[in-house]
Amino acid sequence: MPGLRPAIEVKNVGLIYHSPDGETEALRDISFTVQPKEFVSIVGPSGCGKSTLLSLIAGLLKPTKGTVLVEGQEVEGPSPLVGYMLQQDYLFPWRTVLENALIGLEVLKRKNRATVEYVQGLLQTYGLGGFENYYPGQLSGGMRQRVALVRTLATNPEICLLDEPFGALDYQTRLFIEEEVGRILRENEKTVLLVTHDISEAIAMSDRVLVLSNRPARLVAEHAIDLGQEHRSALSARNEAAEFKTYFAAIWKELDVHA
Amino acid sequence: MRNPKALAMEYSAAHLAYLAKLKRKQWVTAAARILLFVVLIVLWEVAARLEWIDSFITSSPLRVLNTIYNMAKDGSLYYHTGITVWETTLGFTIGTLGGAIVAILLWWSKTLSRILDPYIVVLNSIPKVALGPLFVVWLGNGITAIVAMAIAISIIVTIMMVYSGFQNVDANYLKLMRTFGASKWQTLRKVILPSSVPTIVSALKVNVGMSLVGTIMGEFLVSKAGLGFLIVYGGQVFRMNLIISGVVILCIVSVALYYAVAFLEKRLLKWQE
Repeated sequence: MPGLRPAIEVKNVGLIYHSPDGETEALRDISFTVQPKEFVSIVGPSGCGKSTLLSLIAGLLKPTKGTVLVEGQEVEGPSPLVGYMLQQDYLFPWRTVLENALIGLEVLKRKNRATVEYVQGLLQTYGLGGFENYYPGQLSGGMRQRVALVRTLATNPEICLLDEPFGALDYQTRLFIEEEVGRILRENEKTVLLVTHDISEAIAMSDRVLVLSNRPARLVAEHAIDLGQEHRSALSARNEAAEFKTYFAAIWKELDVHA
Repeated sequence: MRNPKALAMEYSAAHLAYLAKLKRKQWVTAAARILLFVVLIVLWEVAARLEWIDSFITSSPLRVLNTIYNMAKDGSLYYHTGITVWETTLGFTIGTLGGAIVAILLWWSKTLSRILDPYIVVLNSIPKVALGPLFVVWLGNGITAIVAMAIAISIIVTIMMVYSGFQNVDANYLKLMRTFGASKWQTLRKVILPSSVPTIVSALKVNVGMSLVGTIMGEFLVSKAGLGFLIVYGGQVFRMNLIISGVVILCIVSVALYYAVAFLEKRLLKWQE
């Protein structure tokens, strides 16, 4: 898509952590771009620094080298343009479903009748209507994850960063929610960057998969994924799309997994 | 969803039998507790009457009751109990609020908490009762010194409990707030304080007892009024009836204060049900 300004630009980024025991190089010379409305996944071995990369884009950390741009602007700190979904739902147990979904708007001081109605509409649309006044402890894992998604969408960010958001769910729920979240994010025309160690999840959900190496993480490969429009669902992508296995084998090899 | 009452109609006979058994067990426990109390009291009274023990030294349940009755009649019961409850409440409130505020300051500034850490450890380990005479000299022989005693005993524990509660808040909640660009103040109000409510409530429960200890110690030293004064005075004039009456009333007061806090806890922790 020439001429379009990328949603995310990561340019020659390196990051070094300092601790009393010494310094650790987490990321080395990483560059990539994500186009608006694109769904990109990053896979890599555990502990390679995938989440660190998201923290840089979210403005929670500053890179040691290089620059990170979001919508053409250099990232200086957290921005309402960027939404973040954590590894678990992290709903506040003392807040109801609706109150949890509204936390971002409260923090940004944008909570008013219109935005509350918008959030109530989102809850309704995603199967949480009637549960607004429940506490998270009364919901199933899948429902909690949906509340977390609505919480992210509530502030209407352009870009959603997903940090292994399905890791805590059991396998069936995981496939179900994966498909649902993917659909919801596409419906809302979000730019998505998903971090995962699950190769099949990355292939099934994304337009493009980036592969990171062991620490210090470098970008080792990039795959444009095309399974065909008819294989958008989590199961169909895994079981029916012919190219799925080819992508999987290639990424598996690049990850160079040693037990 | 979780509504056991809605299911009551569908309980099987086996389950009803199980519930009945459970209820019977509760009954037996309650009955045994009361029985134990009655037996001990009766035994004490009988022993005193038959002169197995010297009731001048051990008093007896009826004498204690009589003392309390007389104190109720001349109003001194309400006067001394009221003073002790008032002093305890003051010490408890100031100690808890003050402790919570210091804990917030320590959370706010990591540097401050690093610097003050050894001081808090030392303050926590010294027996606060030893400071009593100092308070009396500094603050005068009156209620101020007593309340200071109650505060001294409760505030350090509060600081330590509440601060460790703050530190135990899951870091991912803080990360979540940061992704929304939350200020420190917003994080404190929306995450740190509400998630520490259970810790703060258990600090309250500990503090009720602590403040009462401080108040009684203070009353021993100041020796003007209150249940602590009654007890120490009873000792000085060798009136065991008075000492034991004081202790009995103190028991009732401490239980009442504890349940007041437990009631507060139930109100504050609605979401846990």
